[in-house]
Amino acid sequence: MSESDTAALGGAGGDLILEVRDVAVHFGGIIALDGVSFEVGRGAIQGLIGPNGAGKTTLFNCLSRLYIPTSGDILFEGRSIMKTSAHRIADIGIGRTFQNLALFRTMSVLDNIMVGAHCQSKSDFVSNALRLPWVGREENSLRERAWDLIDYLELTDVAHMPVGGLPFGTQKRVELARALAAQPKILLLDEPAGGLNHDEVEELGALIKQIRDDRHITVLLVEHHMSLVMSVSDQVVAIDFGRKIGEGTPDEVRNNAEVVRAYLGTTN
Amino acid sequence: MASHDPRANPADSYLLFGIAMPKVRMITLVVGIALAITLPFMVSNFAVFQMTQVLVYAIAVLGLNLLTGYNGQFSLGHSAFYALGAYTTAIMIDRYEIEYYWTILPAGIVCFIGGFLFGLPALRLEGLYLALATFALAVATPQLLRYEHFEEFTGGVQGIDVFKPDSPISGLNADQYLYFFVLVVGALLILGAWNLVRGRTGRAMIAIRDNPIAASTMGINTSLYKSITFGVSGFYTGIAGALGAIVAEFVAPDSFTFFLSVWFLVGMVVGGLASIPAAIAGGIFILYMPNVSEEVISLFFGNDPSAKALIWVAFGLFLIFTVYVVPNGLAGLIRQGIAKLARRPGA
Ligand SMILES: Nc1ncnc2c1ncn2[C@@H]1O[C@H](COP(=O)(O)OP(=O)(O)OP(=O)(O)O)[C@@H](O)[C@H]1O
Ligand SMILES: [Mg+2]
Repeated sequence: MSESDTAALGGAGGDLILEVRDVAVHFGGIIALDGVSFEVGRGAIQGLIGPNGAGKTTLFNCLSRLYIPTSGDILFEGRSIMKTSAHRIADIGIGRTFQNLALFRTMSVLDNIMVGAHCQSKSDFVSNALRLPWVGREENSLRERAWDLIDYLELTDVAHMPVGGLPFGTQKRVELARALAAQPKILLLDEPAGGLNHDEVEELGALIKQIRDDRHITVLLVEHHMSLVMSVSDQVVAIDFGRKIGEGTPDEVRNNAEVVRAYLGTTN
Repeated sequence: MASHDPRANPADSYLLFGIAMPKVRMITLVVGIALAITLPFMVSNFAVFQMTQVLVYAIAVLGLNLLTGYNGQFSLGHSAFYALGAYTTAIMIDRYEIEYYWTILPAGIVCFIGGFLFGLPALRLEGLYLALATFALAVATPQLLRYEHFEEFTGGVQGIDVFKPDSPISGLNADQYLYFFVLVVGALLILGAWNLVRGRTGRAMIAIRDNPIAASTMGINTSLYKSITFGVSGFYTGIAGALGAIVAEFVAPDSFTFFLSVWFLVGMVVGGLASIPAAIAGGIFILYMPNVSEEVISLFFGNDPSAKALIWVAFGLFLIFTVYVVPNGLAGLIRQGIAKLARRPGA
């Protein structure tokens, strides 16, 4: 896919997968988000940047329905998700990873990834306890899919190990595989490069592009690692103190005076 | 070397005394089943009765383990489910003259509903608070069973007599027959639990225990799963109670005090959390440990009546010792032992 193609996909007026409208989140006196609005085009890789405490994770938690916004609206594929419960979010096509790993520590890599496919399966307590034939078939197809992701993310050697004892970078890949197992339409990545070394970050950049190009998954990427965000994103939104301070192509955002002052100026 | 399946669990290729691990598990299972079938023909009727009671406790411990070990919810109230199952069976047999074998599943279903309904409000409670709520359930239950306005059904303080079924199979006496009846029910329940924890539902249960927020983000309806798990746990423990009523030939409020819940808890912890075979170890521990403590005390103090008081001291010390030496229970100890002894092929 050429650069202009992807830019067109992510451009305004195209097919929007996500619309964040004036979302505010207050925690008692703390205003974590103060009326943020932006859009994500289908098929885009969109960066979301901002200094520590800007409200990026809070926004992700609103998209996952873990936090209830004080006001505002969020539309996914044109429909509001404000009445959708948290456990239905994976089902409608929103997947995510967590800033501080949220894996199932005692479970194996394989099982973690299979839990990721929970929303893609439907067997219940009774059919599982009786192990009805179709349950076995469902199980096999889930396992097959999990193994594909294990191969894709090079986790084969550790597939049967409990994730709790694996190196940080490996655990991050397990989280990514688990999120992909749900076959999301949009993937929210919360600082996937955190704790990775230089080479790993480079691989991650390639991987994110691959995920979008091969699997046609829209990516919303929260990251402090500027060179990564700027190299993979079609569009970047910058927030600070819960407000949007800039938006545009990586170049536009890089040169936005307010963004430079709030963020880039202090890190670069 | 033979072609190697890259997707196989490397742990399965390990050898224990030269035998591959899957084969070791198979042999253990076969030996276990053979023992369970032959043992009742080799021991006294009283010992058969005790083995039956072990199975009953094991089923109750398994029920608690599904809730606590796999799903991370605490309960000090399982004596209540056990009592509910026992009384359902006793009332059906005594008041409605229903054959005992038709009462087991209804007792389980009643307790599933009870567990599910209790699990719903309990969703708001975490850890210690849930323990307290279930404690209240355990304490209230014997009082309710004693309550005079329910006496028509429950028999009040007197309880209800349940007659031990005759053996319909020649060659089996009543004790042996009851043992096999409980063994078959127990085996089905173990198989069901095994399937459950290995499939989609079991993964969801464990995921909720390990990280409820991530579980919900992965599409697991955590509230529903937790309530259903409470129900399933009640189902198991209720069936244990139903079988227990038939084995004991009697139900009365005082058989189902809060202490019974503690016994289930002790059995579960000593056997090992989140392990199915551990339930049997737990059942054995619950039944025989008080006896063993008594033996130990009389070994040291002879028949000195004042030494009777020391039985529970010995038991307590043993319990502390167990928890200290094998913090992951017997199941954990066996896992550790295998990890020490098993060798990689060719090593
Ligand atoms: N559950 C909560 N309760 C109270 N305050 C919260 C909560 N979650 C977030 N906050 C506050 O909201 C603000 C935004 O936090 P958030 O985690 O969204 O920032 P962030 O942009 O993800 O930062 P970082 O880059 O450090 O991850 C912070 O001031 C934080 O302390
Ligand atoms: Mg954050």
